[in-house]
Amino acid sequence: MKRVYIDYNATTPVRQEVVKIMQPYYSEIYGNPSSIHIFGQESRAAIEEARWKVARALNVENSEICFNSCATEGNNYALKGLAFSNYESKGHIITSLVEHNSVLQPCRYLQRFGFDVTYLEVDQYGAIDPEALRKAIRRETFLIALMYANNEVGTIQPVEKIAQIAREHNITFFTDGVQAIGKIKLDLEKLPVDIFTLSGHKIYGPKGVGAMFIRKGSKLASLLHGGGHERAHRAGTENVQGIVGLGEAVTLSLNELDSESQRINELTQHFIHRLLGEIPRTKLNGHPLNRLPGTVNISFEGISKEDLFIQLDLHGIAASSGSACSSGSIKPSHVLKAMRVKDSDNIAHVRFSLGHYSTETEVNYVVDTIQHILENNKQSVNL
Amino acid sequence: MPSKRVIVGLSGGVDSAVAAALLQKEGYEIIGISLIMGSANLTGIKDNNQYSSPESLQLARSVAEKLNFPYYTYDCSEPFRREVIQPFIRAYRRATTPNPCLLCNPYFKWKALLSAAKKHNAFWVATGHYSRVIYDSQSQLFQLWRGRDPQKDQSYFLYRLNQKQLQHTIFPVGRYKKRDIIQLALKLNIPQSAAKESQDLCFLPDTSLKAFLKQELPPSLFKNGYILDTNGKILGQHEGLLNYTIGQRKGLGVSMGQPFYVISLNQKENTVIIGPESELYRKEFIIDKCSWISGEPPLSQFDCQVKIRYKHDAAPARLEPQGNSTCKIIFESPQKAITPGQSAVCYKDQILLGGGFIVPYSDY
Repeated sequence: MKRVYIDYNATTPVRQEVVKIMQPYYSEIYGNPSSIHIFGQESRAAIEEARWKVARALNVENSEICFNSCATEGNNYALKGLAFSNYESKGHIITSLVEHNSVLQPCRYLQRFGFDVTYLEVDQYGAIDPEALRKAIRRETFLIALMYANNEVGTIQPVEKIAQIAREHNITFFTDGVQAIGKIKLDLEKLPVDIFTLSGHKIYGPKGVGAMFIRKGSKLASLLHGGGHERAHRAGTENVQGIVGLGEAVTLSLNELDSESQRINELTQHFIHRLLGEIPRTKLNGHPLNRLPGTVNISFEGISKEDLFIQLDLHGIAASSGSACSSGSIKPSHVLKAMRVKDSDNIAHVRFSLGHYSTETEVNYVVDTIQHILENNKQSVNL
Repeated sequence: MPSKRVIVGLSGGVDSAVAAALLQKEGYEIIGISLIMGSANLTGIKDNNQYSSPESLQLARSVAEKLNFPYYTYDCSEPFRREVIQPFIRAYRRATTPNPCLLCNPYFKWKALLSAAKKHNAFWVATGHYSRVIYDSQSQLFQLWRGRDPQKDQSYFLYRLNQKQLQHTIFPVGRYKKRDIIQLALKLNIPQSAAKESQDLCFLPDTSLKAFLKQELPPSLFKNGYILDTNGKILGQHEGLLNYTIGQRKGLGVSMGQPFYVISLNQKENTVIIGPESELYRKEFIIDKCSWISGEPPLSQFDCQVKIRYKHDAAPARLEPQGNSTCKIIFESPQKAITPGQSAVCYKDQILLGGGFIVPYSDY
C-alpha cells in the first residue's frame, strides 16, 4: 500500500547527515563530559560545538543555550523554574488558551501553589490580541508565556509586539518556539524574548533532546538537582550523541531555511488551493496569511471524525486528526475550541503538516484520496 | 462476490480475538473496531465500561498488533445511552427486570458495526458470539442457529437481529466449543484478560444496581408497601418494588414455616406477592413486542422449545399468536420464575425462531 507521511509537526525522520554525525558518539567517543581526562574532554568538546551551532542559529551567546531532553521539559522549566524562583511573592502569569499542553498543564499546576494565571482568549484565527495582553498585565505579573507559532493551526503570534510590551513592563517573556525553528527566520538578539524552547525531533534531529535559550540574568530554580551540569540549570550526564545530532539538525535547518521554506510554502499553497477549491464544505483553520509554511488545518463537513481518520489510515495517509483521549474517542482540540471553530459529529478536523520529504505527488494523492473517501461516505450515508 | 473485508468488533476478550484470527486464516481482510460505550456509574469516572475500559481497549489493541490488522475505536457513548441504558431504566420504571444485552445487540452494536462496515467498504461484520448464521436456500432466508457448544450458546442474546443484519454477519467462534477457542487462543498466543469473563451489567462496573436506580428513578418507586401472600394476606412491609425481583428469596423480612420467594410484583397496588417455591411455577404467559428472525410473525400456533432467560434450558411449549406482535406461550410443564421484562425466545431444535418480552402478569 502507498504510504504518505504528512504529519511533520508531530515528528520528523532523522536526516542521514544527522545520523552520520551522531554515530561516533555511541561507542567510539563515550567519555563522560564532566570527566577531566581526554575521554571526557572529547565529549565536552562535542557538546560545546553543538551549543555554538544552536547559539549561532538563534543569534545569541553560547552561554545562553541550555540542553535538555525535549521541549516539554524546556516549557516546564521555564514556567516552574521562574515561578519557584519567585515563590515567596507568588505573582501572576499571562498565557493563552491555545498553548501546548506542556505550557497549560504546568500553569494549572502552579495555580495549585497560589500563583495566579490569566489565559488570554484568541480571535477566530488563533491569534492573541496584544492590547488584551496589555490590559491583562498587573503589578505582580512576572511572566508572559506565549507560543511563537501554533502547532495545530500554524498561526504565528504577534511575537514582536508581545516582546515589546513585555519589555516595557519589565516582565520576562517566554516563548515556546518548537514549531517556529527551522520554518521561519529567528533572531533572538533583535527580538527581546527571554526564554525560547525548541526540540530536536521536530527539525529532523533525534528524539529525546531539546534546547532552550535563557537570556543572561534570568533566574530559574532548577527542576533537577545533582551534579550542577549545564550551568546548574539541569543536573544529569548530558545526552552527548543527542546533543551532537541536535546541533547538526539546527545547522542544516538554518542553512536551508530560505530555499526550504519557499519550496514548502509553494507546495502548501498548491495543497490548500486544491483542498478548498475541489472539495466542497471545507474550511481552512488558522490565519490565512500569517502562518507557518507547511501547517494545513482543514475542517471537512459531512463526515465524522472517526470515519475520516480511519479511512485516511486505511489509505496509508498519516495526518493528525486530533488526539485520542483516554477513552479512545476523538475530540476537537482545545485550540480549535478556543478559536470557536464550528464542530459537530459530522465535521472532521485534520491537521496536515508538510515537511522536507513532502512532494507534489504526495499532496495530490492526499487530495484525490480525500475526494474519494468523501464521495464514498456520501454514498454509504444514502444506502 | 461480496468483498472479503470484515469489521470485527473487539471487546478485549478472547472470543472476539480468536474470531478475528479465524477469519484472517480464511483470507479475510480484517479491520478491528472497539465501540466506546460509556458507563453509568456514580463515581464520576468517565469510561470504565467493562468492554471499553482503558484496559479492555489496550487488550483489543494488542490483539490487532499481534495479528497485524488495523484497529480503531468509535465513540458511541451517546447512542449506547439512548439505545441501551435509557430503555434499561424505563423497564425498571415499570417494575420489570430488563436484560440490556437483548437491546444492545440489534439496536446498538449491529447498528454501529454495520454503519462502520458501510463506511469502510466492508461487506461483513463479525463478533465473538457463540452462535451461527446459516443461509437456507429453500426459504431464501438467513437462519440464526445455536452455537455448537451447548454450554456456551449465546444465540438467545441475538434474537432481535433481523435479516438485513444477519445477511452481513459472521460468527466465527459459533462453530467451535469454548475449550477449542481457549486452545486456539493459547496456540496463537493471544493475550487474555485477567479480569473475569463477563459480568451482568457492563455499564455498571463498580456501582450497585440499587444505588444507580435510586439516582435515576423517582422516589415514588421506592415507596414502602405491603408484602402479601397469593391470597392477599398481609405478611409484612416492603421497601419499594425496585428492591425485589421474581424468584428472590433473601431479604424479604418475613419468616414463614418454609422458604418464601417473590412470586410477582404489582405496580398498581405497590405490593410484593410472595409464596412458597411451588407458587413460582407457571405454565402460561404472554410475550409482546415480538421479533422474528424471518421477519414474518407466525400466523398460527406451533410447538417449539422456549427459553425464558439466558440460563434456562429451553422447555417444550406451544406458541399461540394473539394479534399483531403478541403471543401466548403455554409450557408443557410449569417453569420456575417466569420474570416480566425478560425475554422468552423460541427455538426449533438448533434454529432460533424469534421471541418477545414477557408481559407483567398484572397487565393481563
